[in-house]
Amino acid sequence: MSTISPTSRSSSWVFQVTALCIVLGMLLALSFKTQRQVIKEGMPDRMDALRAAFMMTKQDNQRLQRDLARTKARYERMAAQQASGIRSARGLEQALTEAKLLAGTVAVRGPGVVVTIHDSPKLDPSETRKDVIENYLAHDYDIQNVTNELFGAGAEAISINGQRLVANSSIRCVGAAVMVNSVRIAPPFIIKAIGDPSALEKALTTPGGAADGLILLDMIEIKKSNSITVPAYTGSSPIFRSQPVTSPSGKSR
Amino acid sequence: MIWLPFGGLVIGFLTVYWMPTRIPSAFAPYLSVATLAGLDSIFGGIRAGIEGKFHDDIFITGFAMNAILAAALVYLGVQIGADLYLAAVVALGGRVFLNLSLIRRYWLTQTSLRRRRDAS
Repeated sequence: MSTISPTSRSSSWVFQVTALCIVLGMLLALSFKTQRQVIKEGMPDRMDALRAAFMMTKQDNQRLQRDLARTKARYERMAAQQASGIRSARGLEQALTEAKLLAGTVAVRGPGVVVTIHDSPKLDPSETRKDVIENYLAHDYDIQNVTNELFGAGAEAISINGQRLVANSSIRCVGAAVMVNSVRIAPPFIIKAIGDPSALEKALTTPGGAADGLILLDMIEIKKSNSITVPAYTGSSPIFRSQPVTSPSGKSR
Repeated sequence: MIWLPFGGLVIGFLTVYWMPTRIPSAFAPYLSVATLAGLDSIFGGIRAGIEGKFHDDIFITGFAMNAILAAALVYLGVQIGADLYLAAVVALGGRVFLNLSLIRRYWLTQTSLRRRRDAS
């Protein structure tokens, strides 16, 4: 029995191998196509992510460049002051003013928006279910969301019914009223924010934004204005335990 | 005669390649191990054919069982989060190489035998 030569024997196995080869070819082609599909599907996600990252980096870059220009200008100014020997009072006063603006201990004026939040006029008077009525009332968290959104959009100073928001302000619910800076205020809540008026308005009116639900229930009015006065913080400053930490750079100054 | 399998490969490939059929990309790993199982069966079949030990039932069930087992391994791997398909790839790939080397050896002895016969 010849065992070596494939052609000397009945070669039915060649046909069977050929049949399986056809199947294998099909599988190979399918694999090829699927793999290419996988690669193609993987691409757009990455492109989108890269595009978003690029845009963010670009914005950061622009912002940093603006900051740099501002800091440089300030540095030049200070250097000039120092050179001309007027280093003392004016520079210090300027630093103090900046600190006051940031701390909210002075009244400020500028362009911005006036946001009024009140209970919804859409509440059916015959409604008796308490949890439903709750949804139509202005709450402390509505104010929190709106002020948070305003700060996020670059608001520089915010007051609620005359109460200036400062670094340690709180907005809390006390029964039917809301307490800001430990002062009770009642609706309508008038929020004054100084900043870029259109940016602030856009931040609130963005679909899905903080004020979306309020707009839906007619609970909020947003008015842009060229001149708003935000009052100073008038409460006490209860700083008892914090001590300033002298940084190495502070020491050398 | 020996070129017939290659012709079949090309025909099968082109048929599916020009067809608009698509399958979800989630099946890609299954497809690749099935392809590998087919490759293993074909080389095993050629080797058995050369050795004269070819049995069509072993040939067909071998392909089917290998493909099913490999696919099951892939599925299990996906479920338990381990790349179990690597086991199928290694086992089948190793066998493909083994069969290829045996086929090459048979082919070489055959040609050297013929050459000696022609010389004498």
